[in-house]
Amino acid sequence: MSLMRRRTHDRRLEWWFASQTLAFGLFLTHPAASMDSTAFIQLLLWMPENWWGGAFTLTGGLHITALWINGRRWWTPYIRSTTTIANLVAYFFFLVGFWLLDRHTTAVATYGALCVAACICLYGAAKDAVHARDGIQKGGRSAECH
Amino acid sequence: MLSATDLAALMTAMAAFIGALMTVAVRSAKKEKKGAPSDPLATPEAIQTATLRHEMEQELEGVHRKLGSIDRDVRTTLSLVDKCLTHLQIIERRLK
Repeated sequence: MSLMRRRTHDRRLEWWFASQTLAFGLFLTHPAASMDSTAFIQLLLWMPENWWGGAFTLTGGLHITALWINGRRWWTPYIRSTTTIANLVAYFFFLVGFWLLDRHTTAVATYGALCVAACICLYGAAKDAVHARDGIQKGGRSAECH
Repeated sequence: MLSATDLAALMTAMAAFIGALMTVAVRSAKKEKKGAPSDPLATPEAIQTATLRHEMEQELEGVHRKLGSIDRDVRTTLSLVDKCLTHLQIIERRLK
């Protein structure tokens, strides 16, 4: 438990965001039709619901893995940034769908908050990527060698 | 439903926003780097190690500068001693 707390302490929001994305993905992969609102028409034209679920599960899982390894490998901030960008874009299109349908629905606030959280996580991950690059230049491909 | 134009505009706006956000983050990280180092990556142990390393590097730089200065002084002294010896040899020859 203390190991978990120690690992999540510095990036609580990012851990929450990654876990939420993974849970959201697993929820969407469930056979029940969750994306049956007209707000999802555009998104379902691109991919069926279970594919969206798979995509969120994959990005959420990758994000958690990168956060878990974080600090021991130089590439983790890049994975964190990439998965966060992918999720930010996806949540943004979810937000747009609901905004066009009814801008006063609670989903606009919910997906809007998720977009804000993604922006904060992306900001942190991009900063870490710079520090990791600096670490590589100084020698050593893991942060412990930094 | 979004038209292709709306979609392209949204994508462009999104790409521009993400680009701007990342630029701000990179600039901020570079500014941090100029001062005390913030952590390479995340864990408190890594932050501690990086801070200690930075302090030690600064101390080493100071020692290196001092050593360089001592080296220059020793070279100057040796050159003066060499000149003195030459002069002494000349004087010795003349005295003979």
